[in-house]
Amino acid sequence: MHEWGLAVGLVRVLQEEAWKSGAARIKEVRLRLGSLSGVSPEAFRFGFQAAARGTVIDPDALVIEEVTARSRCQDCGMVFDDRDGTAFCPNCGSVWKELVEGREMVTESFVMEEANV
Amino acid sequence: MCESCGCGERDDVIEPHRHKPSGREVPVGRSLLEENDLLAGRNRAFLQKRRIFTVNLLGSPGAGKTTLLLETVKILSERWRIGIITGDQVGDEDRRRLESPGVWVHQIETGRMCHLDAHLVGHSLEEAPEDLDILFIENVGNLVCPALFDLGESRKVVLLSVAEGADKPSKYPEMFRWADLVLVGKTDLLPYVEFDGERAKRDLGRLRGPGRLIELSAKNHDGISEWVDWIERNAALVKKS
Repeated sequence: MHEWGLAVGLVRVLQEEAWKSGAARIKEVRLRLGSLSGVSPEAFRFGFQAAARGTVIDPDALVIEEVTARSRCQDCGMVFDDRDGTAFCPNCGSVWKELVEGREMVTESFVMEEANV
Repeated sequence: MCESCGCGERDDVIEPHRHKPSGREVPVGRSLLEENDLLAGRNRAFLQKRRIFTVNLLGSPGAGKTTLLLETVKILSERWRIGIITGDQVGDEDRRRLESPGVWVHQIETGRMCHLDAHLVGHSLEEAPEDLDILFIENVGNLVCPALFDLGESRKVVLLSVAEGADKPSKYPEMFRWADLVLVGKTDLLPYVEFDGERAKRDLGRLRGPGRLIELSAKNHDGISEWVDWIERNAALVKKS
């Protein structure tokens, strides 16, 4: 359940960002999670709801965009869906591949309410 | 299906229907692993400066990580200055097992944490003697969480014992996918356990391509020289760098 520690970390980062941008409340947080990030979206959401309680962040603020992993074949160059990381190149069958995306766990942006509004 | 408890709830029930809220949108662009990766980078720089080849040794509880280290260090400590950081939830039993003359051993007790992170390892490094050549970090026995956390190591090595079964790489793909080296241990038990080695190799191939794999036994020392050789070649490269 490493999601708990990561959720606490995100809340800490958001509090820092809220302070820097003068936010009174954070109403939405957009997170991109790759299918090979090793983070369960559901466990993460559960942790985030608990960690955000009592802060300027709305516990239900989290919007998770799940990114399907994609790999590029190192033999023929084809880019293909590789959700669980076990696919071979559907074009030439090569096992040599590099991941294009799918490991990310990035906080993209948040929507805030300004302190003086 | 619900991933946390397998209750069969539909996923889309959990995220409430929402409208785009009004307000100013602020870009962030920061990774959830930012803090860990920053500290791992510091550990890596520290270890590189001292020319220490560092192995993050991962595997299930009971895979035989400590026993393998004991046997490995007996051979290596004749030629190299060895350090070991060992992580467990509770106790210092591994430190006491691993301690031997000339070997620096440091125990991390993680308490409730299920993995080592770069922060914990960084504090351990503050206590490390300056003249280490090779450092082993024995991670908490767990095939899930430790996979995500870079510690600043030179190489990730995953130990899978034949007693655990050949299905583990396909069941715990994240752990095996990023391994620089996979060790298949306790091969002395092969006559007594069902272990489909071909299946394990096929699944590992799907996860990591044609990566390096060594079969060994800490008990009868089959394959140990290949493993020791791999470590020494890497340690020599780091010394020369």
